[in-house]
Amino acid sequence: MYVADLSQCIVLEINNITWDILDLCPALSSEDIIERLGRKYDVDLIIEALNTLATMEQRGILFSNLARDIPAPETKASERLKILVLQKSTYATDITKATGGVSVAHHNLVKSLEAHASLDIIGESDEVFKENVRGIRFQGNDQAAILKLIGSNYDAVLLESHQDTRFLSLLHYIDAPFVVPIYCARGHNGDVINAGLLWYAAMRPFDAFLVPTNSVKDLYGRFVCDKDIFHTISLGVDPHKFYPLDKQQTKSEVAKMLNAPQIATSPVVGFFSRFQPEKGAGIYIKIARRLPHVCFLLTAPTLNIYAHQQLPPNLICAPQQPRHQLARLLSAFDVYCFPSMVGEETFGLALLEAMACGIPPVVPKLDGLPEVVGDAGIVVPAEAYENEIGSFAGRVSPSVMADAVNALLTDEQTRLELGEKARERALTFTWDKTAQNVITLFRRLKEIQRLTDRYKRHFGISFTPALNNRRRRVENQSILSNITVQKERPLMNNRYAQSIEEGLSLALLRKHSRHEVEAVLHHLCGEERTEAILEKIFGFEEAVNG
Amino acid sequence: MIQFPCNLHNLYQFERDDERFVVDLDAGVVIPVNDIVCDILNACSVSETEVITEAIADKHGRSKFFEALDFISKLSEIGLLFSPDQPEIEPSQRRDRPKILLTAGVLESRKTTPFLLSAANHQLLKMLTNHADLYLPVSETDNNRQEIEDGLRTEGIQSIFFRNDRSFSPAKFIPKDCTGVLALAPLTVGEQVFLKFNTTPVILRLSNAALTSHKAINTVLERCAALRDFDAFVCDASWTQTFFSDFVPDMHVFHHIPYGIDTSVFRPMDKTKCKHQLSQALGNETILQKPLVGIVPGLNSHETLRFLRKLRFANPDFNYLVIHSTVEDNFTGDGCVNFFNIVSLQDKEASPFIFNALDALVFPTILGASPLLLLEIVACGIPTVVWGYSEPEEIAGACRFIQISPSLFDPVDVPVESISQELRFLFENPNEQKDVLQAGLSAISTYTWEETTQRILSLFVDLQNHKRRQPKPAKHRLLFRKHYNPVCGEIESEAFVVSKIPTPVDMEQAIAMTLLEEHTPMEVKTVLQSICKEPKRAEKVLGNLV
Repeated sequence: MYVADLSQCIVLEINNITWDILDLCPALSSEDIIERLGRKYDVDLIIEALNTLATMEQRGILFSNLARDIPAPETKASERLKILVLQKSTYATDITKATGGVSVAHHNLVKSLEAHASLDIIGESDEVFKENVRGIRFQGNDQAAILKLIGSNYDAVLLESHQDTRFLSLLHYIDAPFVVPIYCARGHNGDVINAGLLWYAAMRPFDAFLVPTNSVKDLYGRFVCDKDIFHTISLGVDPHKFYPLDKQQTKSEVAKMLNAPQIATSPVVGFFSRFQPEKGAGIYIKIARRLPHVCFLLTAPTLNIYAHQQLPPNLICAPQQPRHQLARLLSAFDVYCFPSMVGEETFGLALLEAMACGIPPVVPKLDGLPEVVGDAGIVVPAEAYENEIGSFAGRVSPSVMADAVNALLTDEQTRLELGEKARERALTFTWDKTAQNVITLFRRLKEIQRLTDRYKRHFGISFTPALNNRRRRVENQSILSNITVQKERPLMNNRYAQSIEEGLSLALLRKHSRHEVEAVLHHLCGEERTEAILEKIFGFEEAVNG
Repeated sequence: MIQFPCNLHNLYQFERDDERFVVDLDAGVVIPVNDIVCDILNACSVSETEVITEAIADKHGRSKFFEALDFISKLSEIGLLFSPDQPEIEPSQRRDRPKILLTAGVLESRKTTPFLLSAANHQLLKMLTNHADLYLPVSETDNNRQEIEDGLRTEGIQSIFFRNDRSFSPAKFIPKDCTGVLALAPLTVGEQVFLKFNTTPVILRLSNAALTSHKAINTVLERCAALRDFDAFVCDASWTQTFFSDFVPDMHVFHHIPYGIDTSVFRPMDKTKCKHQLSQALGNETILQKPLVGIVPGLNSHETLRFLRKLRFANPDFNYLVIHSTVEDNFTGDGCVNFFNIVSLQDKEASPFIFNALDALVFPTILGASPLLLLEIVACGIPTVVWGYSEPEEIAGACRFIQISPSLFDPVDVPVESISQELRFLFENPNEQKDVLQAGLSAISTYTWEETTQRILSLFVDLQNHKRRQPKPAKHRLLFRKHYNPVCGEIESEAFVVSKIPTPVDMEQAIAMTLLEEHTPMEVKTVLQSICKEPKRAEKVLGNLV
């Protein structure tokens, strides 16, 4: 005896008692069931079966955790896209503590997408969070879970981060565009770039990378041929959480809170990030030493290694603040100084949050920071490395940085003007705008998918040596036979001789992505020829599939 | 593409609310499916992919069929629907008479008859019709359709009419339960194409008479490359096998099946009488005055001419009779040399008498020299001088052999001096002459047409069995990707097997692994030779995999 759970794609073998219970359970309570079936079966066995079913219920099998009256997303707003969100942790309505930029970005993006799409977010169990936000049980790569995703007809799939490569195999099964964000572009000994290149290899023509600034596109553009796969969509800031406050009043409050009266009386330079060397902690300390009359206020989870060394007296550390109170601390800054060299600054969410509080920033010309600052702050020249050393993507001079900070502190008018500009500029980056751009991207990718040939003709390719008596040598060649795997003969001649590389590319395309073929060609014949061959091969593919 | 037949899991199908489901009881999942998927699943445990394609693609349309097939193969990849073990297929009810499809350049719309005129093929087919049903495809548009059909019927061959247009699938004219395809003439490009995605065993009978140019050799190499594990290349000469062994990595697909000799026709006769007949027929009395040496040149016309001039210059005391099966040039204009061309059955009838008029034969074991002539002439008791690349296994030890070194591109270096010496030696030593001819006669007695026919038929049986037992190629999901090397900042390509713990694989090996799923070892060897920087590595990589 078997029972099939169509919503979970699972089949279970059951006994007579369970069979009978399942017949009765929609209408009767456990007690009634025991009473009713007690005449037929031993009560202990019925209770055992009920307990087993209860475990199933907990796991969301056979019994739906989804309330019945929730209409299926299709029937409600049919215009709405149905998005699958693949993330590390389960759905949370809010993040309270400051965490890594990737989590903040993803959390805010998902929150703002809620207004525009129906979201299925994978997690530990099936549950309904909101009218259009559901949790979907997905644990590892079990067959039923993958089947469920295959059958769900999503419009698009959004990942939390490109570094989460365990979802890579799903690309093969889920027939919807994947949007893979790169919030962190490099560092970690090449691992970050390589995770990106891994996704790149597997991606189909209708998948995309979401990058927060063009700097990421430029970086990856150095490594890959298909640059159109990168879509720049800026991140946002919540202007209601991050807004300017009366500076003097805030300074006094912070001075009191930290028991550091000099904050109220001196100019304040702020640092708001993890306090570690790559983020510019060492440079920040050096700037503080250069400007002893200025108060350097930092807020970070810990002081890391710097807790054990003599710090300049004008460096004051504030404990980590809850996110909703960050604005109170940030508004005490006169200047926001962020000498990060980490190579992970694809955007600089903390920078944008400081700007939203009306604080003029001073940042090095590295990665995505200049694009966010625009003309609403000081971008200090810095030396960007082609390849990182450690996690450092460039070099920032403490004295140049100190000069820029000092200049801004002494020129009040410019400082105030830039502060206003920073707030204005920050207001143009909203999460809702990000969400709308992402929705537009989803729709565009869906359209690309619609226009992508589903029925691909793959020709018979063979490889053979041939005697070339003009050159007196044996040459290897590939033969394109005018017959497809589908037994069609679309071309005019029966046989065409091509180079081995071209034939190999066509042969590989039967099972591998275009980007994989790119990797193979790169290995065989270098960048320039790769691009030429790819162009030809894809042109041919495009023309024969109609 | 997924290869059927496959062993199915314990499957159960049901319908609910007009939706169809397949329950995979072994995997414990329910799979929503459509009609085409059901149709394929119903057929795939007993039929081959091709048969299913023809039946179902016609019913539902090709693109829908291949989409469904793609869906099924995705499910199969996650371990659903199919058991990994090989299906135990009952050998189709053993037929007493195998069905053999002949090819004769059918798709090129050539006349279908000329090859039947070739005497040896005629003999072979005559014997084959005693044991097998023979079919020959004939183009529907052929003007002489009726005539061809009648002609073939008298030969005991059934015609299969087909329409040769581009939408036509060649698989359609392979008779049901076909034992195999026998290609007696070198395959045309069209036939090559038509065999590309088929799983019927093919025997290519390679006749040396056709191998006179580089183009012809290249065609053979191309066909060699396409030989699958259950195909065979059957050479009529041992030296052909030796020649191609340089190109083919796995010689087990090569077989040497010699022609049969009808010793009741080709036998020693009264030499004086035969010489008189020949002299009368040619109107040339000088034949009676000097020893007559038969020459099988195996070279192109101008090379033959050069060879003959040199030989005549070295040995003016002999008469020469050029025996050639294809070249139409007449060498008589050059003085004492006569030319005898066997292209028709009438010629064939005269040939035992002509061969018996010879006093010696000069024969080359090079491509282009048909072993049939060697065997027939030796059967007439003519002592033989053989020169060439390898000693002929056919009459091992029963000839005077002169070894020359092979060359792919230079004109054949005919050892005229040695040939003259050997001829003189034979004529001066009647005992030696007698020994050679006796040894030849005893070697020839083993070659009969019945033997040739039986060997071809049993080869078909072997191929069928081999195909049935052939393990499916190991399928790995391989991913090719670019990899960023943080040490030098350069992009390198790498490949790995996609699994829970991705295993890196050397690029060349990965390319070979992927290709081996659809291509023959010879093709993969060709590719590896082109892409491996060190030539020895190609052998090593392939050796590891095959």
